[in-house]
Amino acid sequence: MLEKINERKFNFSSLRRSNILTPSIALIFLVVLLSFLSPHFLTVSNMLNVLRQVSIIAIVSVGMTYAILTGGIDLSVGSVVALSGVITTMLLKNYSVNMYLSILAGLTVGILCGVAVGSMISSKIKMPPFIAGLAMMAVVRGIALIITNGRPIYNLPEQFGFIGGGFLYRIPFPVIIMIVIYIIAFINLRFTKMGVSFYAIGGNEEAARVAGINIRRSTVFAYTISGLTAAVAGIVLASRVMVGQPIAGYFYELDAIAASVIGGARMGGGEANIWGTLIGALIMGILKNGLNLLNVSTYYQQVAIGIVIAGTISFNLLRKS
Amino acid sequence: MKRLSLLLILVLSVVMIFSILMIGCKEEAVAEEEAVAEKEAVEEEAEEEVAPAEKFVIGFNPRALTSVFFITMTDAIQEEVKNYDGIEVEVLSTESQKDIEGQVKIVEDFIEKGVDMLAISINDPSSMIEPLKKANEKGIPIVILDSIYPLEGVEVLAYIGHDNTEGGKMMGEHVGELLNGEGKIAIIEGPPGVSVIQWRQQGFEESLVNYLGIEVVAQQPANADRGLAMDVMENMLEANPEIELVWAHIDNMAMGALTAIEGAGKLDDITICGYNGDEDVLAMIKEGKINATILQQPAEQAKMAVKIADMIRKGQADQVENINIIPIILVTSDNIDDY
Repeated sequence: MLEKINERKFNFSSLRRSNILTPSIALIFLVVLLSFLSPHFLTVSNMLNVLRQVSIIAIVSVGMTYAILTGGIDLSVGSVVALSGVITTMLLKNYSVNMYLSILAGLTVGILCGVAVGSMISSKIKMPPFIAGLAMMAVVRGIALIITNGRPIYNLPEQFGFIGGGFLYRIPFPVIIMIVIYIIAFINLRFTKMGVSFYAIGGNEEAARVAGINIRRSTVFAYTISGLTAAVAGIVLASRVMVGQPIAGYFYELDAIAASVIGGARMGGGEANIWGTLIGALIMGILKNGLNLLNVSTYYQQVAIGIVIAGTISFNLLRKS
Repeated sequence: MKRLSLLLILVLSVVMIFSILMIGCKEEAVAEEEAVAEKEAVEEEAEEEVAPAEKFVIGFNPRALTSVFFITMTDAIQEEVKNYDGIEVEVLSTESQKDIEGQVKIVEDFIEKGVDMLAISINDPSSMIEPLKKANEKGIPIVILDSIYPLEGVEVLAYIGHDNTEGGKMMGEHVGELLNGEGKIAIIEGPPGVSVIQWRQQGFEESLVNYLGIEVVAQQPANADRGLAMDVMENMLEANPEIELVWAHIDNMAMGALTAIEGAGKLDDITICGYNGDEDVLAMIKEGKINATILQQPAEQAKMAVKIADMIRKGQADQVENINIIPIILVTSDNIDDY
């Protein structure tokens, strides 16, 4: 038994990497449909526009996919988006700290939050991920509100605006950040021991333990990555709107979960595909953009988004069964 | 590893507690001073043995302490009570403006504690009728802030608020004149189903009846969120490049629209208007980047509430006006220097 698992340990092809066919078809269908419905949809400028709008949720979704992959969930990401943005902008504005140091501080806060959630989940008491995230979500949001007194922080130095609003060879900078993060995540999940361990834990924790995977360390790592990506997203968001808002990021965790699951991640763990997650985030973003272009009223928008989420996932599940 | 994660939890909690203390210390110092002052005052009272006016406690419940509007109102009420000897204010608030049940609980708690006056701004009028009836039974006077909305079966001593329909009308009139009655405009909507937002829109539409040449070519919600408003504005610019003016129901959405329009290099072509009178929008009007906003005065609402508390305390409750409208002001580049 032990040998068998050990053998499987580095057999990458055996990992249950989910198929991204269904979400890809859904995405293509949506793009084709919207191209017919609105002449403004399929233009270079609108596509770049969509990518930039999607980038923030897409970055948060990377971390969420890690959490879901290990069989958990990270509900604290929305609050971490707010806190990291607030910390970075406060240091920049109120304490005139160097921009790079401020950003580093914001990222560190995200990492610490992730470590805290991961530690609670993997400690001896084995707190359920849902509860650990819920607790962290409340604490982190509270801290963001306390340190700012509930008020947004504006009048930020102009150079800070590049991260969220700048361009590199006509491509919006947040989109570049997003792509880089996805490539790193892809390499990490596909080609490293660490990445394999996430799949293994989510698939069968006991088997993973027997195979010699350090469950505790891997779990903490997964949530640390989630905290870090949420912090990156928080800083990009703060830079994009040039304001640090303690109320930023509300419900981002739900969008990130939706993106991961539309992309084929299995709630319960052991199965996910990082490119699927990106496609999931794109589906949500393109849907919102398209409904906006078509000037559809709010009430209908909500219904449409719900139907697309349920529809895509149903197809995914149907195909598998 | 076990030790390491334990250590990390420990370090993290210390860091968090430390940072809260660091930032909170200012407030604590103030609170301590107040406590000391209070103690002294009590001692003095005891020494003089003169019975001054009894303590009068206002139970204040703003809609949520996550919006600048209500934070300003709360700060103002806490400042203002200091000018009246013996009036105190207790502040309890829900975390979100959508938390209807939470507000019911807060009001019930205030009634249970036996505050001398309730000052609340309501999240959802219909669900507040029952709890407020209880306040009526206990004889606790009710002051409603920031909305003038009749509550059936509840005896409200005073309503304090802005006339949002009037504000919408003022903005509509301004837009009509600005465009000489002709042009394509976009509206960025506030959260759906919120009455003050609906009144603003209603007033705006009433004014536009006089300017039939003005066409609303896009109308999309952005939930009072700056980032979302930016996305919505970008999408509107893609779909309707001919937009000449955009009106946002709430100022921070006007700020989001501004960032989007600046990013698209269309600031010279598109006029931006807001509503609320937030600091940053006023600064942008000064810079000439935003055209106009409707200035509300949450601090004035708070002062009025304290004044009413003082009147109740002095037994002049019968002289309190039932409806108190706090003026709103159209701020443009013409009068920006006054604010």
